[in-house]
Amino acid sequence: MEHSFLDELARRSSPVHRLEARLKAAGALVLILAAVLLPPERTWPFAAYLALLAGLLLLARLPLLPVLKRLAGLAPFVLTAAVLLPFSRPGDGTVSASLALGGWELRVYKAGLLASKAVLLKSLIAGASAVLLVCTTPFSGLLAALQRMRFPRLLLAIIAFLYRYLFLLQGEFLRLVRAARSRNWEAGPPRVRLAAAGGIVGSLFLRTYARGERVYTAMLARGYDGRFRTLAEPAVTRAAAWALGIFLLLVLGVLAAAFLPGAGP
Amino acid sequence: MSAPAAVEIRGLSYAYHDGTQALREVSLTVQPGESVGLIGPNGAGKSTLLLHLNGCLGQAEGVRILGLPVSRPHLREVRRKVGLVFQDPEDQLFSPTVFEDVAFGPLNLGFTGEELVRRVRRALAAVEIPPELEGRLAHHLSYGEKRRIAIATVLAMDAEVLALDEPTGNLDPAGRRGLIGLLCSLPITKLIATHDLEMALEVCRRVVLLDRGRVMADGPVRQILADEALMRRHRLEVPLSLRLGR
Repeated sequence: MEHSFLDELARRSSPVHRLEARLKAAGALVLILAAVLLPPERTWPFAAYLALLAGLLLLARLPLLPVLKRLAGLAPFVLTAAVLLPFSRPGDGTVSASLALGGWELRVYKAGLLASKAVLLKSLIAGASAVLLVCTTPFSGLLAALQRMRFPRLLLAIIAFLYRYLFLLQGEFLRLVRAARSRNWEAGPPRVRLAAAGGIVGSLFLRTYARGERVYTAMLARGYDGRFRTLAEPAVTRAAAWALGIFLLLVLGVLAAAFLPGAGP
Repeated sequence: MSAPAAVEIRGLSYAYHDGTQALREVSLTVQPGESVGLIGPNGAGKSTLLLHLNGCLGQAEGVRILGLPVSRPHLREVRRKVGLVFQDPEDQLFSPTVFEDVAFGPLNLGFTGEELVRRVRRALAAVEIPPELEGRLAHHLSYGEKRRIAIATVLAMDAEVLALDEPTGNLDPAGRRGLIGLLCSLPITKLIATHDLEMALEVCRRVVLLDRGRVMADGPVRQILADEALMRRHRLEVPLSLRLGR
């Protein structure tokens, strides 16, 4: 069974990796919020945030290619929106360019272009922040950090179990399909094939359900009473607190400056 | 009065919701330090019996663990005393890392800080899992490692009775050999449900034969496993080692 390591890069070592998970999660959250709030007319604040992220990426000594690959996962959603917006959002109706195609006229609106730029840059910054966080923090540390930040426990438990059992489910599904294939599933008449597909999905559901019951019993057997207890985490060091402080100052400083009149494009 | 039995079961009956009668009037006493094999065909009620030892199937009328009845007010204490190791380690190991999984039980018992770390390390050492594996994810381990860690998860709670469901299933010969060595070296009371009769011969002095929810035989391991008529009647067979040794 092959497993993709969701947080494989998080097991390296660098100043960013060593930083406490809670601080990184808080920093990433603030950066994402700030990027979303930036006025789209300006360009330099976006550049400043991207430069900040690039600096952190260098500091984390992460290989570029796997990080870009993860970021590329966002591309289908972001690019679809970015390509369609210039044509579909007229705003005040100002047309930047138009193209005659036979009897059709394709208009590119100014407001649409601006929206497209905002979507592109904001999701790039948000995506890069999230990727950087996941690539420098082991998953279990991230979960613990979110719990300390009062993230809803039920949601966290669901994420933790999903992370634990996703590969198992995938393996179970592949085994079911393999078993069907080895009995010539593909060669059967369509009706039989469809019925088998339904059976596979159905038994996967039942197995998941039964496993859930067994896992719960195993938890009860070790004294689970409905509350998740976590290991104590190391205290935040003074240096780490300073690092977060400087980071937040930069992020919020850029955000404030971006709203100043005459701060440049 | 003498010390209470590790496990005392008196007339335990149980039916699942669908009406399947899994246990009928089961009576069984296990003394502290004993290793007892629980054998019987598929569906005999072996796993159901183990689940009753710590009240996983609700209150177990007539079951006492080290003198404590398995009922709601004592459930917490009973679950500390009985370490249930499930058949499929994937069910037992549900935390993101090995360390957290072994820490789950002790955390629920209220242990924190250094004492918690000490317990986890001691339990992992007892099952010979090297400290490098502590931070690993359960789904990246071998089956044998998962089985050992599953046992560590209950050792970390200072269990006094180990209830193991098919502990040698799916292990390679070396893994099985290692597990037998481990079981023999653990000085606590053990109740082992298994089809691996050769293993029962090595680890247990006494076996209990269960079929259709009833205790059919209870006695010294060699005497019961060598009884060809009894074994055949209950869909079992005399282990090869005993047949050859005759």
